[in-house]
Amino acid sequence: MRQLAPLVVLCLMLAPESALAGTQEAELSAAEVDHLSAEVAAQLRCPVCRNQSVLESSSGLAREMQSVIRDRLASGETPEEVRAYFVGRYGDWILLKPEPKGINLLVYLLPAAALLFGGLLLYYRIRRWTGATVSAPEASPAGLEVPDADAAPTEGARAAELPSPDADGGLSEEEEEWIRQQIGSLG
Amino acid sequence: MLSTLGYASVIAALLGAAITTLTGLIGGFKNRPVLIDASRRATYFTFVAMTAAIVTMEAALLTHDFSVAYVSRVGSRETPPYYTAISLWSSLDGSILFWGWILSGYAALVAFVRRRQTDGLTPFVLGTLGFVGIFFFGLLAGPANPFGLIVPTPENGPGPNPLLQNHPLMGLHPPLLYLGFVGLSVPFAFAIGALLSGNLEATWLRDARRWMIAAWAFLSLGIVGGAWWSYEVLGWGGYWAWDPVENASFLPWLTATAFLHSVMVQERRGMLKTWNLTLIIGTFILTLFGTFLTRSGILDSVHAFTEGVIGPLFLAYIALLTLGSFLLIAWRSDRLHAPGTLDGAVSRESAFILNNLVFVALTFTVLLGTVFPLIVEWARSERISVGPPYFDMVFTPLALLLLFLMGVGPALPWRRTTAEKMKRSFWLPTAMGAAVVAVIFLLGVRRLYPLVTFGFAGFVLATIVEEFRKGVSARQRISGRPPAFAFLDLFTRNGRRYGGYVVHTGVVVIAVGLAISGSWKFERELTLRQGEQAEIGEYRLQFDEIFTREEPQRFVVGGNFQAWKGDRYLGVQQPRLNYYPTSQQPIATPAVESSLSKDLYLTLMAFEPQKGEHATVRAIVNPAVAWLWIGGLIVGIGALIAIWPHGRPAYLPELAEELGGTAPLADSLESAAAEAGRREEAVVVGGEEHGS
Amino acid sequence: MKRFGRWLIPILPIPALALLAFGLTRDVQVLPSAIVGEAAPEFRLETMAGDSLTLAGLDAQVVVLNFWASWCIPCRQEHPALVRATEVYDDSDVRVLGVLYQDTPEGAERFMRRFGGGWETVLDPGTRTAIDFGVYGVPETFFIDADRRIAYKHIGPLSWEILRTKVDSLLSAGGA
Repeated sequence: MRQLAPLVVLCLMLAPESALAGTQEAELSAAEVDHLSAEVAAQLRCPVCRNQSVLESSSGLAREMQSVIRDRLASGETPEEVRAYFVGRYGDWILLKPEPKGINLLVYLLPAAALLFGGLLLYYRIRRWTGATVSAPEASPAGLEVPDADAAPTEGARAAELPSPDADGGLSEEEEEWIRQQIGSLG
Repeated sequence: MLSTLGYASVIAALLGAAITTLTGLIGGFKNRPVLIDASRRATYFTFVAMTAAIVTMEAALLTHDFSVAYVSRVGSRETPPYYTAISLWSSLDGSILFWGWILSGYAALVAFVRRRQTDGLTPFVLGTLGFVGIFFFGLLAGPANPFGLIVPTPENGPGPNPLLQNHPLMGLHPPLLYLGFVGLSVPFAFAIGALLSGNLEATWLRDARRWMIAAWAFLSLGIVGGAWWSYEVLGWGGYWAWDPVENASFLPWLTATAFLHSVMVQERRGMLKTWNLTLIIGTFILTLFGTFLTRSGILDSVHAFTEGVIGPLFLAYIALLTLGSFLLIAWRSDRLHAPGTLDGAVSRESAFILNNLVFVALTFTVLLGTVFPLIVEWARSERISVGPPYFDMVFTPLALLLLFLMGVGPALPWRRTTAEKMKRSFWLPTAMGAAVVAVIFLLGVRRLYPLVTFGFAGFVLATIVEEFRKGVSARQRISGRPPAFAFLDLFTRNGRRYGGYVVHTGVVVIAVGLAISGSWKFERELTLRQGEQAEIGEYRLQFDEIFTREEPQRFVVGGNFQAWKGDRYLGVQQPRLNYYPTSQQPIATPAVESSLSKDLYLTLMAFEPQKGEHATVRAIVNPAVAWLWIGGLIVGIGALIAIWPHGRPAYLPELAEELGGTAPLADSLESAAAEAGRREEAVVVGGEEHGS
Repeated sequence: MKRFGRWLIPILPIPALALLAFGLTRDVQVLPSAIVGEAAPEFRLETMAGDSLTLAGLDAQVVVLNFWASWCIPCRQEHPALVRATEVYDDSDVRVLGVLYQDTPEGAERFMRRFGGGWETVLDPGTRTAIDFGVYGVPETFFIDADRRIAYKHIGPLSWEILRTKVDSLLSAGGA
């Protein structure tokens, strides 16, 4: 898990868990053992029921595995050691969250990469669409917009918003323009 | 007899679909009214034939005609009639039959609704739907024939899969999911039809969008219903396990949702044409992919129906449609080119585009996680698992980002904004979100995700309330109607927008329910002697006795547990284990005592078999789970408002009002609106949009 | 570039489709074991007769460790192969040892009376030994060589042919 630390996004994702990792001391109270063993059991796949965790399964084997987890934690093993014990018996298959190593890194890195790549692509696209520079919100309004500073109605309405919210009819630009003229002539 | 009748109906449907495809496509390309007419009639005929097939199958199931292959595999004389009737979708070929029937129904509905439409699109759409149908009817006629004749007729059958006959809810979510899944083939048909016809202007998009909302609504309800079923029936204490079968329904939902937002950008700005086509096509392909994934048995899943030859056929079909669709897009790329322009980088358009990025990233992530074990096995010949801990980890931040964008979108105007306006429209929601976080923090919540979820939820709800407030006040000024009526008017006059906000509200409720139940669920395993009591949270539980009950199709062992919440008596809870002759492991039925704040969820794990002296029960306190179902219902209602056909849109005066209208202005605007309506109607001749 | 580029899009889904095609060629039911090739986990278990028994205490060249239960239907199917193994092989060469999986001694005794076979079966309270061996379900059989390494693992019912092939290969490897 530590390899991923530089990735801010993943760090955020891992935050709720890493809080737990530090709590392992020699003596655990019964409640702590219960809590930790539930954490570990939720990470292990039940061998007989396939798509449930050891924690959730009511099968005999899963229930025995839970008591193995509890015993090992109570005897002072860390959650990582307990997990390693099961991986040694059943292989990586038993981990519901793959170890971030080797090819498994892809499953953690690709989503972040996709988001990053997509974000960059969009950034340049939007830049192109808005013409040369990405305009800050302050960019001076021009053209169709109703001048807002003085003409803005008091009631907090967004004066400059164009008509036709997600129009059911989906008005064309010309129609919007036409309405605008109607309104303008009245004003 | 029924076997022959059913098979003949399937063959007739196959024939009908083939004729629809031929006449539709040829008629469309050559513009021959006779052929176009024929394609419509063939579509109706196909629906009639499939209906006959379904009725035949139901008759065979209910009369226990074991000479019909499907009945001999899923039927039994002991199964109650209700479960016999719904065992139509309890196995592979039956579910394909059901799928085919719904497909033929959608096609007939499209043909009927567009019977007077003259935009030249209909024959292509029907032809495409016919082509989709050929595959499914072909499966039914060949490798997945449910009507095969069994000689000699067996006396009895094994009954349906125990999991699928364990709870009446099994009658609810599969049809919804099928309606959603199959419904997504209609927008697909419009997209392909538009590409084929070359008429890529707005009309196809308008129809595709409406059908998409309908299918999306069914899919949403189906997903929530499936979660409910999982919670009430499977007995593991949760509602979403990231099982491949669940992911299969979630993936197209994600892309469909992305489309429903990006389509608005195309409608207003003429941009993103290729992108929207890709989303529609991708959504449909994901439904096929999901079906393939769960039906071919290539991944472990709750209900994978493994069946030999259908997997490869399905894959070949997916390949054909994927490559074909993208080749079509490439072929038409000249007509799809649209110069994109945005007036401002900070605008509702940008918010929708960003929303699309996150939705697609989420789709990619869920898809990757689902097939990743396969990738590793391919590359390394090793078996690994990717399960809930992974999905929860990657899903939560992206989902929170979407939740945030849900508040940003409506608060941003189209086209552009200024810093001043941003401040005006964002300070209230932001303050609201911050206030919620502060209050929750003071109440003692220190966990990151719930805090963020609550903050964003407050933020989004504030923007929604603000939108409604603005809408109501604008309408009031125009019509002078009291606020309550003005509020209702928003739905009848601009259902798509305000229905959309209702959907958003439902999503917020679900998000809050997920955050609470995900963070504060706790459980204890209790072994109790007769008369012994135990406490879990504020609940108290007393074990009384074990009871057994013989039912025709199963043997039931249950425990009587009295429960109290504080001092309030909750009655006797009866978690059960059901023993079916066809299943080695017992199927658990949990006892769920629901309330708005929390559920007490009991699963019987073990019992002392001789005298029932003690019993082991898994007791889970599951907070706020009821909110998920309520949120799902709100989403459904919102979607219904959004697609409800309504008259001429009368939002124009309202908008003009927002531009700073006065009373005399409003009058003139009414006539301006009327004029605009006429002009608009002239654009869409005979579209069903204005039907009522 | 633009002309050409658009025809590239349809190629994108091909790897995904190939992956799915690969998916069809394999059997999801076959599960890996991390323990084959490793030292066999030591155990000290009681036989149904009440004696204590350890893996290190067995002196046969090859140990055939068979996890089974009386409620397990496929176990009946493989039972004759195990009976035959005890008849064909010398005790000092091959030792067949059963480990009872989630079952009662009474059930196991009934099973043995009904289907024959007199080899020892040890009880595994808490399923600890089965978990130590990474057992998914019954029947599963482990072939342990002279160095007390797990040489092979067989999931599902054994046939006499499979059993003999594996045992003979271990015997010849040990003898050579």
